[in-house]
Amino acid sequence: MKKINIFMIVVLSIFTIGKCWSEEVNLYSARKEHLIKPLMELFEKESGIKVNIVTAKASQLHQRILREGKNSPADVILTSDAGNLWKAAEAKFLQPINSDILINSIESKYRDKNNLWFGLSLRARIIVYSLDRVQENELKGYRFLSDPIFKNRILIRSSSNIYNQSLIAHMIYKYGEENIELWAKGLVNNLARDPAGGDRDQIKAIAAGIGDIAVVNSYYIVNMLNSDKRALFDSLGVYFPKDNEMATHFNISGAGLLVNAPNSDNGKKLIEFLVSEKAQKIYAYTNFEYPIDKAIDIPNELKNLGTYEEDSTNVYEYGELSYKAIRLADRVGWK
Amino acid sequence: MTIFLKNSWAYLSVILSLIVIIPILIIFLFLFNTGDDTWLHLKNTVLTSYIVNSLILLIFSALGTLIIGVTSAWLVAMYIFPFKKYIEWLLVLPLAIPSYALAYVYSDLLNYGGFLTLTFSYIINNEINAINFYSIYGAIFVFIFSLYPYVYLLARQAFIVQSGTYIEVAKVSGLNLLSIFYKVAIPLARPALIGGVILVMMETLADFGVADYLGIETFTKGIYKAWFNLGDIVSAGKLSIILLITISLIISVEKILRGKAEFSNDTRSSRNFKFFSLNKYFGITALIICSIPVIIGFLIPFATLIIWSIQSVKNVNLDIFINLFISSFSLALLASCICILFAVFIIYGVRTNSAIAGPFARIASLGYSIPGAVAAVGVLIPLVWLDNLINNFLLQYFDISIGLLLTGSWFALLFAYLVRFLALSMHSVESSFIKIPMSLDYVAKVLGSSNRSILIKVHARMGLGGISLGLLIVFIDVLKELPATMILRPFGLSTLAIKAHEFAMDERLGDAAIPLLAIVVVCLIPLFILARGIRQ
Repeated sequence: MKKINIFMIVVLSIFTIGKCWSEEVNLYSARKEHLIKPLMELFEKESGIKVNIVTAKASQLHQRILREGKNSPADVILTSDAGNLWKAAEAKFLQPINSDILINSIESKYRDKNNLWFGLSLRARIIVYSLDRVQENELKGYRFLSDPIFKNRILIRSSSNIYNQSLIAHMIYKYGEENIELWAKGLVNNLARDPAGGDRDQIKAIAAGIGDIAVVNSYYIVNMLNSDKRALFDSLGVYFPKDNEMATHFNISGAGLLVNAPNSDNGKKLIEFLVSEKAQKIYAYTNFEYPIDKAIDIPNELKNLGTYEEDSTNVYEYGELSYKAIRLADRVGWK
Repeated sequence: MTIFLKNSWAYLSVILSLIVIIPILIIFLFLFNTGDDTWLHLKNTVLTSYIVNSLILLIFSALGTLIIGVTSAWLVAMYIFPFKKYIEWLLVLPLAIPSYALAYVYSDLLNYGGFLTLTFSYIINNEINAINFYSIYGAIFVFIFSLYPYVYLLARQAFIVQSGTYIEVAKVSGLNLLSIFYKVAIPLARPALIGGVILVMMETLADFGVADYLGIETFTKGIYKAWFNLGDIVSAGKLSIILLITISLIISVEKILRGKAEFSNDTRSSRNFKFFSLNKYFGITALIICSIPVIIGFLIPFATLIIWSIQSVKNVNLDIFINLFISSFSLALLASCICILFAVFIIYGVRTNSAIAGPFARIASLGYSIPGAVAAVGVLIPLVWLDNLINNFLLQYFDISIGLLLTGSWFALLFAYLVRFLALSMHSVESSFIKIPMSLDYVAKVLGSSNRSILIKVHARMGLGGISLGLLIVFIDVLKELPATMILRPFGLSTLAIKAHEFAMDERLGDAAIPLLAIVVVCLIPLFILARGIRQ
């Protein structure tokens, strides 16, 4: 019996020795590592705080935080969708942050009214289309996509993707659930093929002639137009959808401070850093996202995308309606 | 007391099985607790397509792998033909390539302007449209060509080691080869074949990566969606139970069909087996037939990955890459050793007393059909409970709070791998232990050996083939594993599979190719060791 005791003590000490005693912050990120690396490296350099990262899908992180409970080591959660942050707040994972920096840099429509989460960068869900096969006057906003003139011409990714779910949620908020159910049915009828692949695949498919119109996130097309393969996409145009009731759908990437955070001060510092000018410039110039701080100058690649009108809806609504959106998509057979 | 001692190995087997069963059980007991029930919604919308799609995938993957696996195994086991020595182990290589990698590669090659589309157009001299790989046909294709090695390996083992003398006898009795095939070889090989097909079916059902990428609504995707996206664990539980019942049914049906037949084989060496020779044309046909799975399942994807890697090699950060490499390798090694240890003890316990230990072993092996993400959560729950227990204890008596100890460490991850992959090691160990005739055990007992020495001196040695195979297969599977690793990993731990997945999901297939290639290369090492074993 004695041997087992000694063994247990040795084992436990090995585990505890691993715990670092220097300044650090633990980040659970739904954004992929290679996208946030430049930001985290800059933060580590400027603050001297080490960032420990775990990346996974937002829903997986959500489950992990739920199961880990009050001893969860996570300080900050970073996601690329407002709906995910809303769900984290609903599940009571987040604690409010009192920060003038955050309040002053971020408009209220991009943050939780109780300061539980904050948007850090923006992306638009826009339409990319073939200049040869689509007339300018055919583009009349998101809702018009269900019109039969688009039969077999539309490309969009699966409804299981969070960006589409937030778009549907936004539209439900604007037009009502019944109307959007009809809309979604029409959209599914107009698809050139069953949803397959990601946003970039839809853009490539237009270039290949499989469809004429694709709904994608802004940074994808910017990336492609500025890659070494840009010649392939010369015949493509960009349209920021807008009609009388709804302007362009913008979503946020954002962060929140977890309620059981062991390093909450460092967590707050990290989030505040992410709205600083240097960080916002990285979002804009490296990832081609729109900065949340409107005072930041955007790169030419983004300017070249075109002017737009952003819809006024508070991003909070995407989360509230996300479950409805998922079920609606299932009902209409949007795979 | 004597009864207890006599069956101590069986009880050990039960205990080990229970350790693995706990997360499986928890998933279900816990799942029926509370929660918003979206079952009706699922039933009215997607449930039918889940069932239909999963069934189609199951049936056709099973059929396809059976045909390819048995045909190539038979040809390789019975005949001599040119390059047979190489083809024999080349056929195993698709195991090195993760099935989701196959999906990435072929969906790209068969796309518009893809290499294969262009080649086919050229060959038939006519412009053809892109083949839509993002369909259930694509998925079936991927599963058949990435999973057939399971059937091939087990069938080949069965044909060679088992059937040696029986086939010779049949030949002498005047049966032609086809009859030998149907009347002798296949019936004798049945447990191996069924074992292989069951592995294929479980892997197909538990898959998430391929179905996700190709856009197919399967049961596993449904479970994932219900649990993670809708937050409805009750429906996720119901779906999971249907899944498990299906697997259990398949396994039970096989058992019933097998009846009371015992499947140990003769212990005489079959090294002097006289291979049948083939004339030139049949020989080349055999070579071609056996080469096709190798080309489709290994050569084409491997070459594609190499080309993509060369194009993206400038983006690689060597430090990070080496780190990833070491982490992936160590995790896989540790996990496979743990799985094999458990498997050997459990199977041996079943052997000594299958009435007691058998049922538990069966349930423990069900972990393989549980999707990785679900297994991960199933593992989290008891470990967090344990961690909180330890934490409270330390807080109370020593006033230290150390937070979560087991979760968020390698322990949780290894535990999840154990639950997920025990079936693999159990199957390999079982299929080789089963060839050790019970008479050996009885003889050894009569001569006074204890159970322990029988295990060490007899079974471990004679079953070395199955043990090595088990180590290998688990090693490769852990290296490729994705969802459970993503959910449970501690800070700072990333694997090649995760890195590849993140790039692929960001539609940067070129960058994904490098970690994928690393996975393939690392998997090739144990496979070549296995190949050496095959050649002897």
